[in-house]
Amino acid sequence: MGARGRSPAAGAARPLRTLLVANRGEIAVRVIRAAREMGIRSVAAHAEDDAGALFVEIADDARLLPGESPSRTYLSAEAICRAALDAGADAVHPGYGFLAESAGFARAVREAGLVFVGPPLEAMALVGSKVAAKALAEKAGVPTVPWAAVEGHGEKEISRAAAKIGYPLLVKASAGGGGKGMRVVAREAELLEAVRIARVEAAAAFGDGEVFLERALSGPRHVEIQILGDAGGRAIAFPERECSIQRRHQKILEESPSVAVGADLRARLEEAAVAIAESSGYVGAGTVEFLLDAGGSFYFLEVNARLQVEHPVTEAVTGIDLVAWQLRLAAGEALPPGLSGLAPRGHAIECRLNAEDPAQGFLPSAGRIERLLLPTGPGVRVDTGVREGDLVATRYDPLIAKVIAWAEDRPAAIRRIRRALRETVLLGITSNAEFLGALVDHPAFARAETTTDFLTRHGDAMVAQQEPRETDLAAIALFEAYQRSAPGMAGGRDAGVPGSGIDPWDGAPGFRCGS
Amino acid sequence: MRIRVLLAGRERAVEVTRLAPDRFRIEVDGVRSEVTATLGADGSIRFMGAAGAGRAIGAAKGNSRQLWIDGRTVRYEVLRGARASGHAREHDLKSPAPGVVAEVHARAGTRVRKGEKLVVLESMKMFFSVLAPRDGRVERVLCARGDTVDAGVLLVELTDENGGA
Repeated sequence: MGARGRSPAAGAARPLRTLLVANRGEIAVRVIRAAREMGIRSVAAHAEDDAGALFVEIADDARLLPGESPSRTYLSAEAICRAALDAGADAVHPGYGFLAESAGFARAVREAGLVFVGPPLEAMALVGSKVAAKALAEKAGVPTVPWAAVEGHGEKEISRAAAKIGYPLLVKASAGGGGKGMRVVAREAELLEAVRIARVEAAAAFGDGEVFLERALSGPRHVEIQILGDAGGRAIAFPERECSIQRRHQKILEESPSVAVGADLRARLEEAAVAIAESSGYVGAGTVEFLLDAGGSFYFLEVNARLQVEHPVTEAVTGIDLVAWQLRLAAGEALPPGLSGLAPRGHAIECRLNAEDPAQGFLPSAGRIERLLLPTGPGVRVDTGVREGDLVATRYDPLIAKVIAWAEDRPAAIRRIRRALRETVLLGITSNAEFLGALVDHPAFARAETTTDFLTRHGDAMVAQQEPRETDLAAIALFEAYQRSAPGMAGGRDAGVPGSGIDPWDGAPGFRCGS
Repeated sequence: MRIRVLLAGRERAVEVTRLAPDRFRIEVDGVRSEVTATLGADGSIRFMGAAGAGRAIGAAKGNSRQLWIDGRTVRYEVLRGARASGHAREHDLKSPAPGVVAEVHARAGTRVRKGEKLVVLESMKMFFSVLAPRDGRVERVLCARGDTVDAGVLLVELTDENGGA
């Protein structure tokens, strides 16, 4: 037991007792629930403005991370480790985002003598750099999108490498993600300037200015394979997720399986993902991302060394609890043989309900959630970290809830997610709820023409302001009438008419007796 | 009552009259229709009328509204201020509380003085006199003895003594 800070070897399982969740919102709730089901005590580490949040309320214990800016709270390895030790935790789950893929954080957690629920440092280093990951993939015999390194090359060499790749191409940050430090180059004249700017952006955003060139595929699909690895060096893969529908390089709808992937292609994707995972010594949950072109060829893109937002669609079609497996693998358990080679059962679709305004370029919105009614019923799962009355701040992720629908096949899953979205009431802030409704209603989505440029091609139709319907004015009249005759009943938390000085009976609805 | 809103960039006016606790008359652009509606304990409104049926849930912030109507969220602004002429409803007499009409003293066509007792309402075992808010003429009497009324419903319509509405 002396090597408490290291990943225990397979077979030497040491159950976790107390887990600190170094995250907030829906993912903190998700992790706390998994921990509770496994008999593990949970500790929420939270910023002051989250003191009343759902994840803090449901955790067994809570520690305040002092300070206002996220850099002092959810992004402070030091504050989180101190909270973990103070609460008597023996493990830390980083969730996604914040410090989830920070090797520095993983090291700090392990140096504090705690288990980090994530891959070993060596694996993080191998997959954390896109350039290193591409080399790893190539060594494992997995095709990559044609690319070229830029570091250490002169202008002439860069131009020559770009010509070999062909235009249009992308300049990407090796340490990057989320579209930051990425530039599209349409022709040679723009190349060197784009490389220069991307380097500056990458250095500013990630503290690492390394960039590389990559061919821009036209109309690809984004497919990814969920992997689990154990400390014994074994990795397994799960059926693909398709996450082609993105805005600003961020996913908004994910599904599993992909209509573009048959059993044969699935087997090859899974084989490639396992090869990459095993050659990097991966332990825990991770995702290997690929681009799939129209001809059915796939190319390795990158590895996400963490749990992903869209993990529930995999859980829906496999019945596996991925968070529970993260915790088991972190405790040193080995993967059982029966877990691999699962065929997807039915079809699952996840929509991300965000506090953002699609009509204004998905600008994040803030405010108090006045009304929140989330869908339920057969085949519907909702993961959320908020409740009615909560404040939504723009300093954090705009995710309000993930609505996941499962059904026997894709058309049934579309009908179900449509029903679930129609049931969703989110008032008080601006959300993308209607945008999502229009998205799942779109004929091109029904035809599964889901390439990464889907929203570029069809997004305008989804933000177009809809013409009011005939019943709208009747509903408005009724709401206003109730609002004035019974303030507080129909209007949520701010039902009054502040500052108007209007007598409640003034303008109240008329009544004709005896009719 | 007349409601003016800004909806999808257009100013719209609706006239709504409560005919019975669950029946409303709605007039939009000169077209009248009747709607049955109930307000649920959770603040949701169920309605049914010639134009269609549905469920609505709203949130108010100042004059801004978000109204969820069967899966769509409609946004609008309530327009206040200068009222259109012919709708000087502030002179009308409304029931101050839910109750039963015990006495009716007002008669259509008669002149009344400010402070004159027009209606007596029984509510929670007490009697409330509803007085004329000003001098005027009774245009219509909208209630009768024994009627059950909600708070805020119109009991008597008054016009100016000089005939102006």
